[in-house]
Amino acid sequence: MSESPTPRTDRELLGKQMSAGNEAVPSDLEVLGAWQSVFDQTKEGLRAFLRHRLRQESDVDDCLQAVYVKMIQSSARVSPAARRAWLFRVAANEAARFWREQSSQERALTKIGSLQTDWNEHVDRVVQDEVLQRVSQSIQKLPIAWREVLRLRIHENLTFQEIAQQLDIPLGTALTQMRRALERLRSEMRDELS
Amino acid sequence: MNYCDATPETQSDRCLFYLLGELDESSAKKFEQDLAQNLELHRELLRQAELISTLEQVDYLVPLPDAIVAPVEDLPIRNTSGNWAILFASIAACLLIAVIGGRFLMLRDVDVALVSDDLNRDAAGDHVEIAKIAEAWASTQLESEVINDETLDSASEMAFDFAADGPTPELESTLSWMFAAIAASPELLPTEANNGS
Repeated sequence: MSESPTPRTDRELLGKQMSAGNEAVPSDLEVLGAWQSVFDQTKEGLRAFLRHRLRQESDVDDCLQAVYVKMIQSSARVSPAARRAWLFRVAANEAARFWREQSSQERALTKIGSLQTDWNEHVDRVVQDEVLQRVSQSIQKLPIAWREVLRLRIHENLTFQEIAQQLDIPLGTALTQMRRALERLRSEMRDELS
Repeated sequence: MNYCDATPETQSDRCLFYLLGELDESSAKKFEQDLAQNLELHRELLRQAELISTLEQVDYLVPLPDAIVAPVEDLPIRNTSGNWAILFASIAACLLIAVIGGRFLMLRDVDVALVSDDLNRDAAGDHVEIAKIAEAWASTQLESEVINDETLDSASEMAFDFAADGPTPELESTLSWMFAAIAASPELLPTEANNGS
């Protein structure tokens, strides 16, 4: 899969520049192009996801457009392996924001000004920092082998096949370690991530 | 690669592989169709997306140096018996230093006392010697009769003082032996016989 001359998946388009042995930093245009590819390939999934949260198809389209704008604004901050996850997370937030804006209270606050919105963003950042700190502590408790698979997959953007080859372990073992690491983190961070 | 063929398929695994872009095109299409109809799959996808997005922001995933992540069994085990030996050796050294220091101080006090006695003995010897010299000088003065009455008066007074108070700082001068000789030789003092002559 990784040796295919014509990349078909977003990982093939994005991940190679982050792989070992290729440390060239992609330009902004390349990053945007990679993001565009991820968005195009995930668009139908995002639409299906948003249909569970929004009633009108037009609202789904509006939310998709808002996700796209957020993607352009934040394109440089997210690593390739987490870009699809980031898009779905933003889609969930934008759907929630859509519902808040439908309420009369939110409309009134919007008329008063953006002070409330700024405060909410500040609180969100503080909460997010605390969550990250707790997740870091939970990661420290994981077995080293699990942590290594997690790091190679999320930060180095290696496929599970590449991880298995690099660590000289069976593919099933790499998958199992990744699965158990995520389950352990989810169980410990159930309150923060829900 | 379609991992669904290699591993037991669960909703969680499908969501993970989809989010990581590891499903092939047909599997991804099938997943999106299921996502549109399955509310539980939708919730699971959101949970996985939040977890992956959070993990992506954590810096603790950076690999640690090999020296830090070395297995515990490879680390050297500290020998605690060596610590006890060092402790006993330290205590013994302290006791030895205390004994030697105490004996040094005691010997130093004894030496000071002995030196003091030697000085006293030397001073007494000096006085005996001065007295002998004075006697010799007095005898020569008696023979030559050079000493007049005034000299003898003042010398006698100082001699009495010397006899009564012992050596004074003034008598430690170069003429002290002479006064001692006068005191030791009463015949040098003015008497009626001497005055009459």
